[in-house]
Amino acid sequence: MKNIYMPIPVRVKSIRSESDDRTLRTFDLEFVHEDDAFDYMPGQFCQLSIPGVGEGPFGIASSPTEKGFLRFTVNRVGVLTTALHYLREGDEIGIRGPLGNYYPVDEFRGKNVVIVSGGFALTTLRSLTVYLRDPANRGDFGDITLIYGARRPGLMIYRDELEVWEKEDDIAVYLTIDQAVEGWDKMVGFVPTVTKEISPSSKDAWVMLCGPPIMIKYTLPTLAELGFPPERIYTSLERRMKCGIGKCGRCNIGSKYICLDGPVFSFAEIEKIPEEI
Amino acid sequence: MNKYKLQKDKLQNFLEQLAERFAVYAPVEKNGITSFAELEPGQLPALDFLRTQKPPKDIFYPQTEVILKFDEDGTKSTEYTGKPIAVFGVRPCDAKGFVIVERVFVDKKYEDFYWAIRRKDSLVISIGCNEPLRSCFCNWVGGGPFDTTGSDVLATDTGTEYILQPVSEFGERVMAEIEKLEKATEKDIDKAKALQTKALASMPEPPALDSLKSSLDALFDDPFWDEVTAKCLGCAACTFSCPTCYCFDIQDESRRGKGVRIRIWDTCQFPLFTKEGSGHNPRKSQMSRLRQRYMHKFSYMVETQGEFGCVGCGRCVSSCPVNIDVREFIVEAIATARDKGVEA
Ligand SMILES: Cc1cc2nc3c(=O)[nH]c(=O)nc-3n(C[C@H](O)[C@H](O)[C@H](O)COP(=O)(O)OP(=O)(O)OC[C@H]3O[C@@H](n4cnc5c(N)ncnc54)[C@H](O)[C@@H]3O)c2cc1C
Ligand code: SF4
Ligand code: SF4
Ligand code: FES
Repeated sequence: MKNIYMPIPVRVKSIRSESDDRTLRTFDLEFVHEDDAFDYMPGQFCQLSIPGVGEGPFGIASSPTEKGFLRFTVNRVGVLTTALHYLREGDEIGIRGPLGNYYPVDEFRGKNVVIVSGGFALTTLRSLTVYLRDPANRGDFGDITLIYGARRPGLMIYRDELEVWEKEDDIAVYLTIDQAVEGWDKMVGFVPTVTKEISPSSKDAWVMLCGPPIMIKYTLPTLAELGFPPERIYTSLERRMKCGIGKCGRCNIGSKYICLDGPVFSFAEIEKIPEEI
Repeated sequence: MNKYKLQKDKLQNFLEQLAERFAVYAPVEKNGITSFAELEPGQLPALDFLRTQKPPKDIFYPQTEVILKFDEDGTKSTEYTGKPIAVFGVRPCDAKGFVIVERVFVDKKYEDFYWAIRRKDSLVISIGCNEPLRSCFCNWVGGGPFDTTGSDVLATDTGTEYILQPVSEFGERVMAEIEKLEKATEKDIDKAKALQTKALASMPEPPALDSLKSSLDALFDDPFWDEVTAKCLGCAACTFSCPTCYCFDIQDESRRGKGVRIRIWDTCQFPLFTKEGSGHNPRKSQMSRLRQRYMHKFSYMVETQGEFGCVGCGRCVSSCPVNIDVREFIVEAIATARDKGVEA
């Protein structure tokens, strides 16, 4: 019998600070025993576990096409996330996963993809972007558009990588900050406004939309105006979680468990759920 | 399958034979509380009441359980390693409760290790209820005082003996191996049947619940909920006493490099259950929390399990300090939806 609560040992391979306010850190983890390595898809999450401190769910920010490490970006908010921030390279922690479903890549194969994100919710959408742009996959998808906003440049995660992507011609990247600051020559304005300015075509296109609730709330009407039906707009939902596998009863909205049936849902599915997201 | 007869004065011997291969759990009374516990050698179960106050789910799913241990050598699982478990004297509603919890803990995708280990090779011997209580309503929700769901053997108490009716092949095999167990005669079986019919007939006719789910779904945002939940204190007596409520928390404790990971029964009735880092709580009001409990049992579980997640044991009815009665709620929901013309 397999013990689904038993964390698998992983080692911290490298650590990077991801924001200038020191609330975000990115960890690359490697399996202590290579044969523990698992396959996963963009959008899935894992439970990261520090023995004696606790465990919690974190979206996988690396892409399955990137071998040899698993990436997570952690926002420091409480006990576990603070302990994670204190980790050093070489430390061992535990991991359970991959958990949950993933972005519906099979559904939008051959189509255009618009990725809209804000704040540190970019994590699993970075995974998706890298996955779609992998030479082995790129030909299977149409145009890729990425709209990403942060409050200010210092809170923009994966910035070096985003600036590399800006120069590539197989992806259109739009970066925005809330208010103009000196030295910023890209877009200015909230994500919903910028999305309207850019007005990505809804023809044969799917949207992956992840960010703070307020951003989602105001972006949805714009997307509707552009002609995206709710069946083609996906998001990743969050709830407090414990088990991550549909047992502890904590993360339901309506009859769905976010950890098991999600975290990725289309707005067509969400509209059918009675509880507010 | 063969049916058997157990004289009550041979119960001790019967349980001792079971104890040779099983850890035998049965109802006991301790400090004025009735619950299930492993019988000590020579101890007889307390059988002069119907349901225990504490539900028997803790036999397979302890209220607190250390699941992992951490020390210098790493992480170890601390699962149950005792004998297979036999439950004697559980009531039919509670036996069905095991099945409902099991559908959650062992689903298509994931098997809950700690539950599954305790359930492995386990035996459930239930005793039917000759005189259901006034708070019992198993017959509303697809059960009955002699329902066999979840039982390996169903016993009928005739006063001086138990007529044992194996339900599963495993139950049949174990009964066949018990020494000195008499075969039940036609007459015994008739006697048991008469008691079963009488018990069911003694329960008031249940209302039709076909439209309950659609009524609740239609009423989700209706002020109806404010009325039916207004008295609720959020104490969670209902969920802790419920044989089908399964929510849990996982917590770590540690001191000087050694630690444990514990799983503990939790409840959707407490605000912290869903409170998030940002301070946001998707279930802010007690209304939304009690609504979650009722929606889960009478709507969501119909979708996920194909039947209600309530077995009608009535424990929440008798344990609620402000007398909230789930049956009144059910009747009220159906009537409200009908009056408002909203049910599907
Ligand atoms: C599917 C999913 C993916 C996630 N991905 C990421 C990610 O990539 N990066 C990241 O930094 N965070 C992510 N989170 C949130 C992260 O899991 C929580 O912030 C973390 O578990 C908090 O742990 P803590 O011990 O530090 O906080 P605690 O000390 O337990 O609590 C601090 C505060 O956080 C709240 N909290 C605890 N657990 C959660 C939770 N699971 N969700 C929301 N609030 C919680 C508590 O109510 C409390 O107010 C994700 C959550 C989910 C459900
Ligand atoms: S027992 Fe009664 S008061 Fe307590 S949470 Fe349940 S319904 Fe509310
Ligand atoms: S909801 Fe109440 S009556 Fe139904 S199974 Fe739970 S405790 Fe028993
Ligand atoms: S986190 Fe336990 S059910 Fe989803």
